[in-house]
Amino acid sequence: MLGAGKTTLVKGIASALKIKESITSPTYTIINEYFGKKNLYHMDLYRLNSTEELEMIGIEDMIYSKHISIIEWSKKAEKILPKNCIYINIDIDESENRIFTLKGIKI
Amino acid sequence: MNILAFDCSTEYISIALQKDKKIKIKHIYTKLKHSEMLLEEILAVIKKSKLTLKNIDLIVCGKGPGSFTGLRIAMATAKGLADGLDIPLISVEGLFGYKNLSIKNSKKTIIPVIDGKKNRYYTIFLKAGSENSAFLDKSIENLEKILSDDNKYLITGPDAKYFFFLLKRKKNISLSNKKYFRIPIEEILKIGYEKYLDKKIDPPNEGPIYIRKSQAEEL
Repeated sequence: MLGAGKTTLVKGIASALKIKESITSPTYTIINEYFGKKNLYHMDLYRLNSTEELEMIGIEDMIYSKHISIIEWSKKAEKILPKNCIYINIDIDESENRIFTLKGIKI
Repeated sequence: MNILAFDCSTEYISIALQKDKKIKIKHIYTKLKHSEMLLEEILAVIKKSKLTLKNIDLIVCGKGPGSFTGLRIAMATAKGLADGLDIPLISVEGLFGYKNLSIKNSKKTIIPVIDGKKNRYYTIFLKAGSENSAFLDKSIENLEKILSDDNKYLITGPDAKYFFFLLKRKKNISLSNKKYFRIPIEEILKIGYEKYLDKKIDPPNEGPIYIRKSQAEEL
């Protein structure tokens, strides 16, 4: 959803990793890389069309590394995602509140 | 003859430079930043030996198996350098660098492992300097099934420690000295030089070895 706060969430995660670079949307770049305490890979897979394309950009090296990958439109990568990934869903209610639903993590 | 060799099949950049028959090596941890660091590190190693790129006569490049992105970065860089400098390029299977260790331990089967992620390991069985299997891309469980009680095995390579830790059976299996946990880039350089003497220079369409089937192909 547009304006839900995806980039804002990534900014928060990046600041926790002590990343100083400014965080921008990967809609056009597909993958943005940042280097902090851990590497952060922020991807938007909307424009990719096949599993093969994902493999060709080397996505597996990133998502199976010790680093952190945040994936928008992760449905496109369903087949290659690890079993233990965390899913975040952001909804907006009538009063413009953001409702985060987390799957795959215990708090 | 001055020879430059490098390999990016792991999370490290491994570089070897031979000048006056002496080989200097360097392993640099990249945090997966191969593309930003490789050329810089190559130039630094060359400069330290008081050479410039123009003094290099042969390029040897590790061609895998290993990190998909790393292999492509190494191969593309090697091709660019060789073409620009108009010198030959020879690519070498990185795990063949362990052949020398298998000569030194000829009674054991050497199993060098690289973590291929998703519970799979890239390896090849080496015995007394030769290949005893094809390149393999297997889970630990499936690799354990291949091991025979009549053989002795030596686990080595970039991800040997973790692999050895996960192995359920340890009978007749030992872990190599940790100095072999980095890709043996000096051995890769030597193999490349031997191939050069045999005139086995890479054809223009040579590329990395991907032993893992694409997910797209598997479907």
